[in-house]
Amino acid sequence: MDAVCVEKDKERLQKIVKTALKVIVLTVLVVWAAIAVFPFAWTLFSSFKNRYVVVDKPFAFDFAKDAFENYKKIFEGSLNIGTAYLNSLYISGLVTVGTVLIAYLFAFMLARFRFRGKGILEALVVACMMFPAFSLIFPIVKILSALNLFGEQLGVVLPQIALNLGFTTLLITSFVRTLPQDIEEAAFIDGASLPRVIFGIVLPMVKSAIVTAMIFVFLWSYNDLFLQMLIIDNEKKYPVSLLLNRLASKESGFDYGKMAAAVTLVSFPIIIVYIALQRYIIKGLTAGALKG
Amino acid sequence: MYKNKWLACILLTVPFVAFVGVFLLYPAGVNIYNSFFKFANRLDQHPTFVGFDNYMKVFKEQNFVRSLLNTGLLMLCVVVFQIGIALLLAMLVSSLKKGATVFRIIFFMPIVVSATAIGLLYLMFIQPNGLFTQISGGENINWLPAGKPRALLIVMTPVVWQYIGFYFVIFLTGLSGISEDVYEAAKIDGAGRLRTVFRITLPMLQNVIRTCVILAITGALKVFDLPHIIAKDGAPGYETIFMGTYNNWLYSRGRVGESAVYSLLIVVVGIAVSVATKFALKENKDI
Repeated sequence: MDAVCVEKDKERLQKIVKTALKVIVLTVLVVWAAIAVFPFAWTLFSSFKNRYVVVDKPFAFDFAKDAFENYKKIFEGSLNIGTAYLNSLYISGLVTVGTVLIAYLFAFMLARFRFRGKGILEALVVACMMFPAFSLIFPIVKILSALNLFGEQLGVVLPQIALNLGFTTLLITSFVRTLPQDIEEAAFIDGASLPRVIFGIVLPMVKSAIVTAMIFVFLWSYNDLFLQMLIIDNEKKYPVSLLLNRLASKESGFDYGKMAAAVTLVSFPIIIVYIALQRYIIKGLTAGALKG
Repeated sequence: MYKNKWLACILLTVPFVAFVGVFLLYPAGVNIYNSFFKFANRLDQHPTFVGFDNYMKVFKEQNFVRSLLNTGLLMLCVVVFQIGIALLLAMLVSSLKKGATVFRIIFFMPIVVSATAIGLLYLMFIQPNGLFTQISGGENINWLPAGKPRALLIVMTPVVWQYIGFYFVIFLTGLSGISEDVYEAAKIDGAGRLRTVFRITLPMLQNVIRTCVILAITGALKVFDLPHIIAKDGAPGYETIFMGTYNNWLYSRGRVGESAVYSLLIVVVGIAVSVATKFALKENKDI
């Protein structure tokens, strides 16, 4: 009789320990989730408040009479977020298409052609990833001035393409290499030209690597502050990261309402797109690490 | 199999080599050249040759040493905290039967947002009367005080925070690759939870951890946007200066020659650190 009781108690204890562990695990995870989300939720919440209470009363439900006044302000004047969005889309769109196109052509060559000295070109791809933008900025500015591109959006596009080519080429090359060559060979025998093979036959097969690369490049370019900050000097040409940078400078005086609205408008579109396409975006951004 | 092989090769290679040559390799070469010259200002057309003067000058400067020490400390923090927290979270999430996707989406979110935006909202948190002060229960706290380690801690926190989700996802993928059979076998042999973690999970993740450590360390070298927004030019008094922000400071002062020396150094340090890490943490080829 007693032995059965002890056995039962033991089982009960094990169950309690198991549940307790589960609760602890979930608590830790929920707390971390809160830490990850809180800053963005807080900014959204604060963007509807008057500029004078945003910082001083961070938790108060003290919304401005006109809840959208910060948003109205950020869409007006020379530092206009509408224009900044368009500028960012223009810059990052060109960078994304340019980088991935050039990288794909080169990746196709690396994966499909054999000749002496190709090793040097392959080493070059890896070498490209060793330069942080800030180590090259002075010579780049000089080159852009010589090309009459300093201060222009195209002046940001060209070096950004160069800085992203290494990683993108590596990613696409390793993908093209995994494809069987028979389909291409068959197409050649049927008389298809090289451009037709590259864009009509192989491109659809490497779609997933191309999409991964495009996501990576677009986000990198859209979020970049350093290059844009040192190349673009005209407010009318400001992309979103420069608009944020301007709001952070003391010289113009902090307007916390505007800051909260601007941060919301810059980060939430990205967060929404991210949630919709999370599978691809997480893959796009961790691609390098998982390959290594 | 291709006709006109050489022509095709050249056409496919030229765009890549042109971009990389003009905007990466040529600038790197110019940096080497510039490092031996003294510039009066950024627009100086006729710099004077000074040999290794710039090298001497940079190495003697206090802020240079500071930027190296701070970046070194940041590397240590990213390895300990980013990798540590990410690993813990990944093990916890992988023990769940449901909900892994939700946590994955939430934990990864900070990475997609620009560091500039995060810097700006963090700037609001650390205002003297702001959120940090109110949570800590104090009043009018200067979160970036001179002469105290607090300033550096405050600047490094968001840098470490932003990328934890990145390593978390990588570890989670690594964990899902460990076969259930191994855990079953350990359970039958009577291994407890902790023992399983140290004897099975961590050794099986060795190569993934190695990759993440290399990525985190080389990532720490490139940090610029967040410190630039939160504490411009290493405020207060260059105490929070990092390699990226220091180089920008040299450049914005028109000290082109020294900035060139420093740029070379950043590339050399980057290569040295990743080679050293690869050497220190051996790859396990048996996994």
